[in-house]
Amino acid sequence: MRLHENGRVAGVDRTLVGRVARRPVADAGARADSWLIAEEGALPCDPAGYLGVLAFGEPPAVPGMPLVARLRQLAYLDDGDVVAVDPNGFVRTLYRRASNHNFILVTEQCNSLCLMCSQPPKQLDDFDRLPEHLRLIDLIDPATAELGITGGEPTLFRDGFLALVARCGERLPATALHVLTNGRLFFYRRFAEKLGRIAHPDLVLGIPLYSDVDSQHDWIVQAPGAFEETVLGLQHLDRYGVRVEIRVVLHALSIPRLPRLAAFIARNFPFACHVALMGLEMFGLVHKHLDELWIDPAHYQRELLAASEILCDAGMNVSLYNQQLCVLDRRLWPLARKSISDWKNVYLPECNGCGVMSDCGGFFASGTKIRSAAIRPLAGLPYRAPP
Amino acid sequence: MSGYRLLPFRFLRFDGARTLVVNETGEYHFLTNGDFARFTRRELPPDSEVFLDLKAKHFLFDSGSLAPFELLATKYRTRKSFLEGFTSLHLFVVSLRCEHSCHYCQVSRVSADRTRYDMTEETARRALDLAFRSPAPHLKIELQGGEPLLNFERVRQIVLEGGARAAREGRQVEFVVTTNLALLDEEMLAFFRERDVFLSTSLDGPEAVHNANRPRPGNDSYARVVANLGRAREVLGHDRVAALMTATRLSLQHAAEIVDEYVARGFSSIFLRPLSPYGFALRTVRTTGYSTREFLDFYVRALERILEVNGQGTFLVETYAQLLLTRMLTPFATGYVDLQSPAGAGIGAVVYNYDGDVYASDESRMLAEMGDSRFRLGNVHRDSYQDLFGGATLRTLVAASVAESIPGCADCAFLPWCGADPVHHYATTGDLVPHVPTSDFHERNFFIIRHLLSLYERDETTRRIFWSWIREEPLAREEVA
Amino acid sequence: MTAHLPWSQPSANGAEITVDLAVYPLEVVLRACHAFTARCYVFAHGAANGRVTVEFAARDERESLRELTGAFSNALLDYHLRALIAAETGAIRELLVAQAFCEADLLDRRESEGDEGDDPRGIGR
Repeated sequence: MRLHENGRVAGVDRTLVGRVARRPVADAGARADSWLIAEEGALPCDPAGYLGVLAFGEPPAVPGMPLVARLRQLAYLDDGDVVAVDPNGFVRTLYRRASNHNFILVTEQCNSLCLMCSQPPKQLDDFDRLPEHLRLIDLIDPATAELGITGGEPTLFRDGFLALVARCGERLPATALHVLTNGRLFFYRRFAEKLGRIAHPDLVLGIPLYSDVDSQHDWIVQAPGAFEETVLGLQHLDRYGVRVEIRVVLHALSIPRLPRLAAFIARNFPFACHVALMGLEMFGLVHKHLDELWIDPAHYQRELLAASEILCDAGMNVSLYNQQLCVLDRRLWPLARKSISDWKNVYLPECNGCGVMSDCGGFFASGTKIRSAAIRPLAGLPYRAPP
Repeated sequence: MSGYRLLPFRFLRFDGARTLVVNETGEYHFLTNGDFARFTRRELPPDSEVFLDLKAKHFLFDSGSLAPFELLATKYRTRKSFLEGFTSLHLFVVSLRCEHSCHYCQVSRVSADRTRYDMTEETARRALDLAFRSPAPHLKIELQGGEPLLNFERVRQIVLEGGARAAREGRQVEFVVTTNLALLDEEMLAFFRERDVFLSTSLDGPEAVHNANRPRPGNDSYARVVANLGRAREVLGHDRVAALMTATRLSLQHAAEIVDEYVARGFSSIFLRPLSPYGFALRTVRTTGYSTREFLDFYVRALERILEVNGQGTFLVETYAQLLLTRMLTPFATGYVDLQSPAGAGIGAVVYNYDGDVYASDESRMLAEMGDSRFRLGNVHRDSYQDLFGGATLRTLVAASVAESIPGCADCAFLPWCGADPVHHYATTGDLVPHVPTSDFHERNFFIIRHLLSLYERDETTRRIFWSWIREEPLAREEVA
Repeated sequence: MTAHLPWSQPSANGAEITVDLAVYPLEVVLRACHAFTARCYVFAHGAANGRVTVEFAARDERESLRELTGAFSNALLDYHLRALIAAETGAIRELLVAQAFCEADLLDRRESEGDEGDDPRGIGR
């Protein structure tokens, strides 16, 4: 699925963010925020008062208003989705109402450089994107169940990050907000305090911790001092009532001490509302460090089982992401979640005929080349859904 | 910084081959004697597994990072957090009278003299006033005796007035009535149901053991407990009634049968309690008493049976083990007043006697009934909150009960998991501060902690069972054999 | 097996060990003595030349004096080690206790009390 496309543009002098409308919008105010969709020259209504027109195929005659024509790829766009249109005719899908995996990519900058990063950071100044993000939040359907904030490292926006969370709390109070951050900047106690003061009704910060030993964590994230910063950050966030989730990526460097890391988490961060143990995503920087990182998941089941048991014993809430059921120890099946975004999720030819495919997390579409040697179809087995 | 430095810890030569190290926040690690020697001589290679384990568990540090200190300080504060609530448990002795005449019972009287042994309305009201002066956000009020149902009017008053007051102040209050259930009737049950009151009863084991331990007219204590337990569960809900057992000399011969009785009665917990060294119990020590060693032998056998039962899929928690394991395996504080440092007497719990006297603990009250009122903090009719809780008696008690400063305790590896019980030591030896090497409190706790550690290290199934006790959550079906 | 270890001597009612206070501080010797008071009667008394003599009398006739003095000798080493650990970690222990019970903050937090915008530690760079 493509999330952006270039069309033939007219009348767009700055980036215009708006909701998509295939049907006429009754409210005049909402109309001004809406991109009306035209199909093969046909408009659903008079475009006057709308933000502009997005035309699939032949454009209709709409003189004097923003228009992007000859679009083909974004045909899935529907009422309530949100797009940004740049002056050069670049149309970006920012939000799809029908998806459960919407997120705001706040920035592509990052202060860590994790060996296995799936979206390597870029050195560019994108701090000017804040107004667009805030605008997007205003336009998102308040009935949306969950929204992500991700990066790069979104906290690099400092006050801008706080403003985003605050805006989500105001406009989308019923939407669970899940932020992916390395948590390092919450080393500064007052930053955590400011976030806590916002009192967002349903906020979780997903924060990675890769080892119970500072040197190992710092090496994996390629940032000296990161362990200390994240550890203090977790404590500060808890102190100010911000819920945290701890995320561990499983690879050859994190596996040897995984059970000890689990015990460390249970002992030091019992307040974490969730611990996610995640299989490696096979794209991005991981290929550059494959020798250092790769371990066949079939070969780490003992450590994964031990770590999961330690966390579950301690009463913590554990999930396994990016795991395939045929590789996973049967005892861990109840913890496995289908976590890959709908449109990124694929299965392999080897999966044909597998009886538990519909319960299996499968693979990332973009990273199926390197995978466990143990992938194979399973007979249909009674599968207990996670509680 | 080159090399590494030690963080505070204590150690124990656990067996011939291993040394146990326990740090200030109760985290522990087993080392071979060789690794222990290398560790303390600063000879561990920084890339060795042992080094990394000890670093992650906060036994050593090797950089200027704040992280280990921050984490240690937080965990230490968490463990001592029981101090913040201050007197959250309030025991009301609503009547000293009882129709049972248990051999081990400390102080109860078989008497019809209500004016002499029952708490009056005014005394109850003043005691409630004091209880509500406590800063604890969540109060637990336990109504006991004697047999509290002999003075049901007072029970009703305390629950109604206490409940109304909690509602007014926006606080939480939980009521527990400690009763032998023999006199429970439908009116009482309806009241308990309406006011959401918990019941705690005594069940000493199968009929022969129970009735021998707990005589009453008609020798029908067991039959009454069992019948009224069923009725109470019907009306109040199964989990609203808990039970305690006290081990007598007779009980020691019936470890497995006692456990099985708890299983048969559908309880999810059993508390293997030794006799208290007070009151009548002390006088009848020859018929009912036993040595600490004998009790521990019983404890081990009963615990083994409890583990067996759990392994077969019946969830049954041994309460004392659960308490110790929580202290050993988690960062959390526990509320049990007899296992704190400083001790919980007076600062974690307080007792209002039928006559208005206020005591630092139930043991202090029993001691007073035996003629030594040293731990009486005062009287609800004469003394103010400040007099009672800021007075010399309580200060002395707290000062004597900081285990960290007791000779013998200060060096003990189990200190972060254990506690001090000055009233117990005073009652048994005449001294608030124990002589640790000969203290029965020390002998019991040291043995049980060591035993639990050995069991925890022994096998996977036991480990899972212990954690299920800590979580108070039965094991999942597939985890049991 | 001999009744006494080479470094212990028989005494009137049991056995005794003489400890060099240059090796084991008196505090350590006394702590070890205290730990043995359940097993036996212990009496420590001074002698010349920076030494202290510890006398043992069994509480129970079945108690082996050889076992007793042997265990005591080993315990001296462990109590000595405890004293060294306590000395090295005492300041940190006090800090933890104080940190838990007092409002004031005793850790050096100049960095973590900084402003995330100023970023004195350079985390965001």
